[in-house]
Amino acid sequence: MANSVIGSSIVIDGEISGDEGLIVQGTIKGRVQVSGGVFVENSGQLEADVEAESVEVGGSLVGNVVASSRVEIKAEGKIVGDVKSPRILIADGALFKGNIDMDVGR
Amino acid sequence: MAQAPTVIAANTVVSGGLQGAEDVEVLGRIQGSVQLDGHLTMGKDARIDADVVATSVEVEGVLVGNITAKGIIHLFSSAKVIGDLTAAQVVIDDGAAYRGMITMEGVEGDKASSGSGTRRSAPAPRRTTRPTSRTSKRPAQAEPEPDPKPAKAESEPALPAAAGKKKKVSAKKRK
Repeated sequence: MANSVIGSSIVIDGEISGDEGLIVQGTIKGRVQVSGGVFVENSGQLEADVEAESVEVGGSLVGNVVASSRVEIKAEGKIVGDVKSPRILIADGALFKGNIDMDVGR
Repeated sequence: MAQAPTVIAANTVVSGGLQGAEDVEVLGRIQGSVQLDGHLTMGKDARIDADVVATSVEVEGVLVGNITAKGIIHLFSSAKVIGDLTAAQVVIDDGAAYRGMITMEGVEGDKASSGSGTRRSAPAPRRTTRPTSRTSKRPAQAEPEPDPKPAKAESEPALPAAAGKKKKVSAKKRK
């Protein structure tokens, strides 16, 4: 299945939802709700709450994150917001500010 | 990392404004507005409910909204479009379904070609060939354009947002 790609000059102001994954090289303000993985690349800037299967951040994400499998903040990445995910990986050099909740049992 | 072309994948819905300075391919859905300094392509199953401003636009799916392009607007045979088209050049392939007003830059006309406000205020009934009321599903009636084949248009439950979207025509109907 193909992922959606948001290119680096693209700004989306609103909501993105879907069954596919999402690769973000541009800017998204609003909300992201996908059933696939969200990959925020170095140039990606999210000011959005994200709900996805997995979230990988190499750029900047300001917002709350809920992932059903895992969240990874890469060395160049930054998350400011609360993260709820059963697994989380924060690389050396990554920036993070917020709460972490690893209990996804409902 | 190589710059990947922007793609809105199938099953993905973008609800809000999209703007940018690159080419975008839409295989999913966009609702809201699109403003691009680039080329917009739509796949067959794609749907856009938005006014689109772009350098050029290729439509193969459903688009409800006005399109303004600097270059070419091209409706392929699988396209269904309701809305006004404004561009330097408009190409409509055989089989496309279309309803709206087309303005090609540089073509002089007597009627006011921009904005629907002028027509609405005109008292003269412009209700020329509308047998049924608001949801006239056959686009062939709207424009003397390269006649889009009604057969293809009716195979899909026509242009659903037709009733609410048409500014010029439906204004008369409500009276």
